[in-house]
Amino acid sequence: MLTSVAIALALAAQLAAPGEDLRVAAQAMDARDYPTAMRHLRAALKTDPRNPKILSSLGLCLAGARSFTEAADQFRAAAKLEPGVAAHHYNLGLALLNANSNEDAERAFHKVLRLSPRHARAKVQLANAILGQARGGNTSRMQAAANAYKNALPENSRDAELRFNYAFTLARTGDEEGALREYREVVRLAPGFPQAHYFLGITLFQAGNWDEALVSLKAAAARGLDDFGLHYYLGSTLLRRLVREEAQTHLETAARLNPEHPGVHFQLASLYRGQGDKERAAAEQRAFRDLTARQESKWRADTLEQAAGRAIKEGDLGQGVSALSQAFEARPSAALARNLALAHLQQGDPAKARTYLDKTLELSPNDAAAYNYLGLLAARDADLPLASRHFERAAELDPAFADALFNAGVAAFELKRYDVAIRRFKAALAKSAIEKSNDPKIREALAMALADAGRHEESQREFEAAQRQRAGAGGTR
Amino acid sequence: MVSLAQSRRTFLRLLGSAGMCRTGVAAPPFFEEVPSSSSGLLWTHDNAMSPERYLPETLGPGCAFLDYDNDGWMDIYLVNSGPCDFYKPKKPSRNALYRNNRDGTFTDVTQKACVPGAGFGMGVAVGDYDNDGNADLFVTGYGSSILYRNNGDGTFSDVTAKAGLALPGWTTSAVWFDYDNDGRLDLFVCSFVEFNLEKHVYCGDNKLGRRYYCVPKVFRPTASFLFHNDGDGAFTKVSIGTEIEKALGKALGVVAADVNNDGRMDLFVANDTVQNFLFLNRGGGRWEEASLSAEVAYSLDGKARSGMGVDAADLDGDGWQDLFVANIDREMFSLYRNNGDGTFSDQAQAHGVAQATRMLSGWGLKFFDYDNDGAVDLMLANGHPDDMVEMYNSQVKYREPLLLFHQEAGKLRNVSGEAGPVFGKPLSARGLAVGDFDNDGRLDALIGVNGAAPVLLRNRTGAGNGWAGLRLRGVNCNRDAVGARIVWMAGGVKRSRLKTNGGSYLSSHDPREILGLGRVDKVDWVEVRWPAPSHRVERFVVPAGRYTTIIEGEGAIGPSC
Repeated sequence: MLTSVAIALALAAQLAAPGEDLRVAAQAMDARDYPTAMRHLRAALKTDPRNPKILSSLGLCLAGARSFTEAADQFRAAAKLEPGVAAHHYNLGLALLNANSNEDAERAFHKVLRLSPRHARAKVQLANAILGQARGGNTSRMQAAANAYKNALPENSRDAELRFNYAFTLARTGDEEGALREYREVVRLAPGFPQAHYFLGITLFQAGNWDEALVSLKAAAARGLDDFGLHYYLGSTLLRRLVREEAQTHLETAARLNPEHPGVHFQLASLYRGQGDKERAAAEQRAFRDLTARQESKWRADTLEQAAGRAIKEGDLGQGVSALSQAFEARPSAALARNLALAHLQQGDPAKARTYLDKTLELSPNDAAAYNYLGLLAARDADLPLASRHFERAAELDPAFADALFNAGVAAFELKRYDVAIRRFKAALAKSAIEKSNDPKIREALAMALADAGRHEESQREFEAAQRQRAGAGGTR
Repeated sequence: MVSLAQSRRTFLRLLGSAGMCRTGVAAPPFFEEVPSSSSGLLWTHDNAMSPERYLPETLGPGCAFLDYDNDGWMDIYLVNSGPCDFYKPKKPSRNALYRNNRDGTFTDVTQKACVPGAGFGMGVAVGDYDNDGNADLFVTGYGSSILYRNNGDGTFSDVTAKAGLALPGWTTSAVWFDYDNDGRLDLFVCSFVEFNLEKHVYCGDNKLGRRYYCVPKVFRPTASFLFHNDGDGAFTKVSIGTEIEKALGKALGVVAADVNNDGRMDLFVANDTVQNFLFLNRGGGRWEEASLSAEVAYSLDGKARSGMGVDAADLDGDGWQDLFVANIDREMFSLYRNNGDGTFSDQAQAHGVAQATRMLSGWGLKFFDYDNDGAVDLMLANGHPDDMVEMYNSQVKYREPLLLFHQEAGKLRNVSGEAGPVFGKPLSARGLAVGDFDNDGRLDALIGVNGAAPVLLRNRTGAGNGWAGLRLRGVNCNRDAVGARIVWMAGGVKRSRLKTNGGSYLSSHDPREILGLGRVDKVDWVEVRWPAPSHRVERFVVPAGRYTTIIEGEGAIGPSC
């Protein structure tokens, strides 16, 4: 809901030397022709690679072309060469902020403020970087964001966007009164900004101040806001004020805009109940319950899956299997069944692994990974023909599945079907080359198959290539 | 013109602000903590906290005020954890029964009374289920529950199996009430989530290498239980096939009250991360779950909250039972005003309760008139369930302070700041029971603290408001007179109260009723409307400043202590 953080790069393109490349680059930058500018700046860097001004200019061009991560690399290089120049750190911070690297951005803005403690915009962007972390899931940083905005206020008191974000953080940290004060100030500073009226309205709604909430939400609507949130809160507020007809219009509009939102059906059920329309109330109640149950079930399955991942990562396979089983019960899916099978396999329980692989195939009959695991189980039981069939099926279903191709090759090799084995190893090799997985074991297997097939020269070549691969990877046998 | 102070406390506040405090005169705290060295309550709760963070560890303990030996003085019962599938205590842990020595101290009589508990205990519900005049105990827990029948000689017998109350799963709060008006207390037991060692999951953070207590949303809901008291020591599960059984929840708190004034006791159940339930007693064993139409199921946005503690009382004196639910941080607690038409309105904002509780997580709670001015006040016991919360949330604390609200001109006012130092003390509070342990006519409080000693609070609110204490004894109705309506007139003001039961969290309160008289010291009359089956209405004149026992159909029998 927050307005996006606009990048406002501070450093002018002051180029260091009047070379031809730099002259052209400067002209191109003025014309916002970033590709041309970058081409010439890179050429200039070849002769003067440690020039912070050129690095910084290249960063500006990359940022202008919205390549923020690459821009950050250039600003970082410039800052390394001129660590005392606040502008490099500021630009680095902005680029990182736009690249969603909020923690690194925070560090960059702290550096700016160490070098230039009264840097007004750095204070604002520091707060934005912290808020970005809070909104990215690290909710414990919301209070720090609120503090940072508060700290930025004296030098930026007329910055409506800053106050808006400050109000947001105050609302999220439980300071409703503060949030209301700031939202009111934003409305005063930027009366045409519909989001300010909207957020003021929903904060008032949550505070139970229906009358004022209504005024603000209507002001947001009058300024063109016409989305689900507005209709939902406007309808809900009108419902609390018992203005049922108007509430109905907005809530029904909200339901059309987002029929999957349980809350709107909750409000509609309450509305229809109040109007004595039992049938529609019951229908909305059902929709509310169904959607809520669906959301809950999804949340539960996701959470259990994450819990399983954490447990397995910590080596607690038993608890991982338990969590996965509960997740599968909550939301049966092929992926979960397959993961359960794998976990059981790791636990040394092939029978249960097989059961869950069968369930995987019930839910997703063309699941190549499941066939691959079934092949491994069959190989474990020394049933090579069956293993081969499973691997072949996996490779057929997913011709880019390198593991299945390799396993099919191994099974064929063991069954002395060298031509098939060679074909599968070659396919696996091609796939691993695409993926740059660089695993010499495929070449070694291929070499062995070629040797057993009597193709000694080819075999020798592959052995040597495998050895080079191993040496390149620095691996040992 | 300056208006006169309306109460002694307001007067004292004004004196303080006028500089009187400099002379050393200061208002006493409303409640003061009685140290264990003075009370003798040396028992400590073992929360069994493990690196794995099994959920039951963080939910206890409950506590109770009860007069187990019928001497007219409130004794104390405390519930502890114990051995179960995930916990093998290194040293034995047990529940505790403390006898009131009538001098502000208590003596541990657990072994003699034979009420040590077994398994991983949670809460306790006190009620005289066999109408023999002795308070019996139902102890809930994870993996087991126990019914202790009071033998009347200072000992109890474990009659769980005979009563048919050996409940599976994880039970939390419970309430004794007479749902079918047959004169015997029946039992409702809250069931929490499907949990056992096998179902425990890893909630936490690999990066930090720490585990948190899981949000109960992770676990499957369960059905709570209603048992009919058959009158022969046995109970029959009668929730089968009813809406009580169909409503799968994660119940933590329950209060029995007649919310629609139809003469039948209803049930309000607080569920954690699931909608709350309002079971309307339709008679004939039929129950209607009406929380959605009553608008007490969800937040205003249609979100299920983390309901833990509950209570019911006629807060605004309009003759209808209002409801309260304590939730977790950021959800705000709910104060539901009964509109008298089957619906409720959440008034937590209007009373300032929402603002005060925004960052808190509440468990035990009680509507009661702590200063005997005749208006219902509110006490809340708080604490976040996750001891790791401060690592990932800077605004929420694991240990939280108690809150006290005083009713003034129809609104609750947060008076915690002036209620005494104990209200600034962070606690992992869970259960809360109120009772007048020193028989001074002022309700004291007992707080069960997770992993620590209980906190006993002595009510020190200033004298000046009159009171009359009643001990109701049903004869035709249930012996505890749960469901009786008391109406009293004092100083020209008529007030009334329904004798509800249950409420709070895992805990049981003093069964006596203290009637606040305000600035007068005389009761004009007291009327008791006994619950069914008699529906008898009797009026008495009772003395102020003392307790009186009133027996159904026999009148008042004078001071009971």
